[in-house]
Amino acid sequence: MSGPTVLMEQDAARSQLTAALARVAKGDRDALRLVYRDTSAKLFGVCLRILKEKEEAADVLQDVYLTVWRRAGMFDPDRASPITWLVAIARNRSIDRLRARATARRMQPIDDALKVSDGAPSALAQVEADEEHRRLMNCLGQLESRHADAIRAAFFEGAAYEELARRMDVPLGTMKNWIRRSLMRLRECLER
Amino acid sequence: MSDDRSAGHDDAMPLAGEYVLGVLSAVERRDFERRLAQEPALRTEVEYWERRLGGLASEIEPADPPPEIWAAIEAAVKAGTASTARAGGL
Repeated sequence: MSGPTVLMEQDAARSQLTAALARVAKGDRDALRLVYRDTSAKLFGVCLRILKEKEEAADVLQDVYLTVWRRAGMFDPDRASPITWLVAIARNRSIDRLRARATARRMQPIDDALKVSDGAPSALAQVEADEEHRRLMNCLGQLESRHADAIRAAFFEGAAYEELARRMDVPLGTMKNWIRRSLMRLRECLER
Repeated sequence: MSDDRSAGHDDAMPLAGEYVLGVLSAVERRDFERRLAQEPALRTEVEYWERRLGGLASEIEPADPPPEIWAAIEAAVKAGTASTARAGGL
């Protein structure tokens, strides 16, 4: 799953996506279709993970690509990889929806189990972030395990401070401390 | 474009990580996005965390969206209604 061939394929996929986004920025609908074809399963996975409901995730996904349509001109390949940029849009839209839902439904009971991924990276095709992921996993592994759990729950599920504190049964201030300290530690570790 | 951490911005730096991670409330997110639009240093910081934490997204299994979604996107784009979709930060 690694080796020069995969890396070359990833590079090619990345340039292709970058080129397609440049065309989208000029109003090319066919290019948007290409971007959708190549990334919608990934982004739908991201939305679904946060929102947990298929219908809502699909609704947000639609919003994500309309955002891409409008804002492709803001994508700068020198500053971010296309998939990182797209995932960020999908996460932000999903988190916004999740927050709006929380306000609308005012907090249903949340299952206690902090069911996040077991940390085993799945053998995904076109995983562009292999190296980044490996480094991050290494640094997450150096955090206290509950802190790392909180970081993962926040990233994958978009859980807000209040919810994290409730789930892990610690005061809100403690949770904020955990997260802020963990981000600082992660940064130190990643910069090493 | 590098680390422009002029005074007054420092307090917002942890916020960028919190924003990207997804722990902020709706109100805090809106406030942060408002600042983000005006402070390039914050934008750099957000990009940093998007790149770093974004690696985790490789653990997320892709899932095929319902087929009608593309049709809906295409229709909206053709109708030029994309511009009326909700505006907001990225």
